[in-house]
Amino acid sequence: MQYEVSIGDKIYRVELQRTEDSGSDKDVAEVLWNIRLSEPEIGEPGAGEQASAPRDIQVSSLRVSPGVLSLIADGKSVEARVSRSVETVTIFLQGRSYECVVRDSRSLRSRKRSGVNDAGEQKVTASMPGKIVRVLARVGEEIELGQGILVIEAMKMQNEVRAPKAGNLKSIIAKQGSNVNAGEVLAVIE
Amino acid sequence: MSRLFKRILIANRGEIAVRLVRACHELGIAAVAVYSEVDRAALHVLKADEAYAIGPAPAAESYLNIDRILDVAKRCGAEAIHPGYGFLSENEDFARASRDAGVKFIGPSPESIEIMGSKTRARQTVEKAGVPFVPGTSRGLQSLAEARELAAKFGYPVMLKAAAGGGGKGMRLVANESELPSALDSAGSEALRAFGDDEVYLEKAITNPRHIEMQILADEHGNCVYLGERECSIQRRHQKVLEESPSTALTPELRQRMGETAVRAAQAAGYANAGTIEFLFDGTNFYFLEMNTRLQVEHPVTELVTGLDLVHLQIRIAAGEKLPIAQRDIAPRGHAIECRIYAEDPDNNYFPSPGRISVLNEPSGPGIRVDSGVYEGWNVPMEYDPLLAKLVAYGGNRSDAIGKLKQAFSDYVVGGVRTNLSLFRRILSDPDFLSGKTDTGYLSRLSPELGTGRKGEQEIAAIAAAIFQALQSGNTDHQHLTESKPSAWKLAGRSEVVS
Repeated sequence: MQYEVSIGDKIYRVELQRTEDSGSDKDVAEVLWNIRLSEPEIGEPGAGEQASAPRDIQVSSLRVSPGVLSLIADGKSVEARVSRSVETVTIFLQGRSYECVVRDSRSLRSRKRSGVNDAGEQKVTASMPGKIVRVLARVGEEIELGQGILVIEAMKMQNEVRAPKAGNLKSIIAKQGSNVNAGEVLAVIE
Repeated sequence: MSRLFKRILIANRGEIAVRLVRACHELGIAAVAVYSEVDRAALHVLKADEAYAIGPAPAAESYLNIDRILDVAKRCGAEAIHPGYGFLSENEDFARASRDAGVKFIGPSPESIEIMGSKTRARQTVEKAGVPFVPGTSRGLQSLAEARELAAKFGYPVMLKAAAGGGGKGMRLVANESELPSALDSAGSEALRAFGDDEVYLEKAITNPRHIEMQILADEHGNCVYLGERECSIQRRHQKVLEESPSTALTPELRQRMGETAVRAAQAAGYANAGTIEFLFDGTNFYFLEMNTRLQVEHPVTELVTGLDLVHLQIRIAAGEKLPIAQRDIAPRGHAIECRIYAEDPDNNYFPSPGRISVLNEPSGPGIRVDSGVYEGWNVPMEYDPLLAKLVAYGGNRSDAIGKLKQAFSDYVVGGVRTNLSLFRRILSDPDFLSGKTDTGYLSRLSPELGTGRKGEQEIAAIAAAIFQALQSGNTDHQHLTESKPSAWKLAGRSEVVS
């Protein structure tokens, strides 16, 4: 198995292989892994192949409960907790949280082909749940990058939802006075 | 000992309502919860002996609805109401309506609340008791000319404040005379919009003072004691984030003077029950800021260093008991620090983050107290304050308490909503905090780089994420790596053998 794990602006490539001594007995929650960790350079096209020196690590994982793993690598013991959302996996270590986007090797290839794209439609989504208290822009308006489109309120605080790119405001889906969930599409910029 | 109440209605929600339910149970009193439409599953409702719906989600229609709450109190036979903090806790109309309905309000009289609720009236009252003030006026400004004259007398910078104010509304810092006319204008109109009252007064500005408050406790028989101070300088948007006792800035002499001043201020207002006098401290002098006529969010800090249970004492005082302690019996020991855990994003201007708590692991252990209002799987509603819980540590001295907090934060996990947990890791590893150098400008100076994990930890996180994913996908084959070149493991193994 091979995954690409993005944390912040870093991408880690993690190749995992169960060792022969684990996995046969399904009742044993401990799994021994051979792991190869590398950090491909990002940015320049083609640079992806020039990965920084990969490191090989042996890790014992033990499932303590559905969201809790005990990991031991090279004698070092850590407790990892996980919280999943639609797009991200948050890992908690020593109380610190790391928001990860995990892609397996198959989705990896398709993502590389599409690349980061600034053209075309872009959806404006709610970063957190709240109530739409004001709409600041009009459909059809030319929008600048960072321009306020809507005002969302939660816990007595108001926050402007800004345009992630410049373009034409194609539609505003959210209505003034309505409640929205995190991740909900509020507007579309073309 | 007089008889305590049989049944107390708790007119609040969140962690304080849970804490009040517990206190009632400890004293053998039945606890009655009230809840809004979005709080049916809230922790205080689950823990209470009785619970009654009081209306829709907006606080104005539920937790601030005096008629509804008193109606529940009468129907269920509650003899007393504890208002907690926030909501109706400093509302003299509620205190009066409770009294008129024959339900004991656990707090001061409506008259005391009214005096302390207006900054100018509070000032007029306690000034007579010899309480020091920031140089300024105790009455609203009549004209720009008057403002000009006073500002020149005290010296710039000066601060304009709304008499009915709070939360920074109607407040303006004026650096020099040319700024005065427009600042006076906008402070007045902002005060009018926010509080329905455009009365504005003027004070000498004290830049980045410490915010130190004194806890007092008064019974209804004229006895009043002070329980020591709390240092509350670490604030964001004029709201406290971390509080501790004792303050690193006070000497025993200053502490005693501040305590005695607080007692005089409370007595001048005919005060009974628990209350807090807030002071500004410029390093040499302290000045009266305001009195909070209720239990404070940060009361656990005082409880840990004094060994007293403030809520028990509030209930006993309201039941007519005399204070069980005299000033000479009060000897704070050790050091306590409280951290307020908010559902908000410290990296995004502290924007609130309501939602479902998908993962929760609260710390425990010696010297650790968690006053929490949440549980795993619960949905933090967007209608109310983002305070989830308070983590309080107690140690023999300040560095012990900090060590306990650091340990506790390494166990504290809240998933699904953003929290300010990372902010505390930064504070607890900041040299200024460790040496006790805090003032109200502290958070804006705090480096965002502090307390972040080592690079190695991020790699472990990546590995953990991959293993979780691999176990989740249930792929138990001894699958080979996708590359066609020889296995990395074999290569690594070979090179090890060779070398």
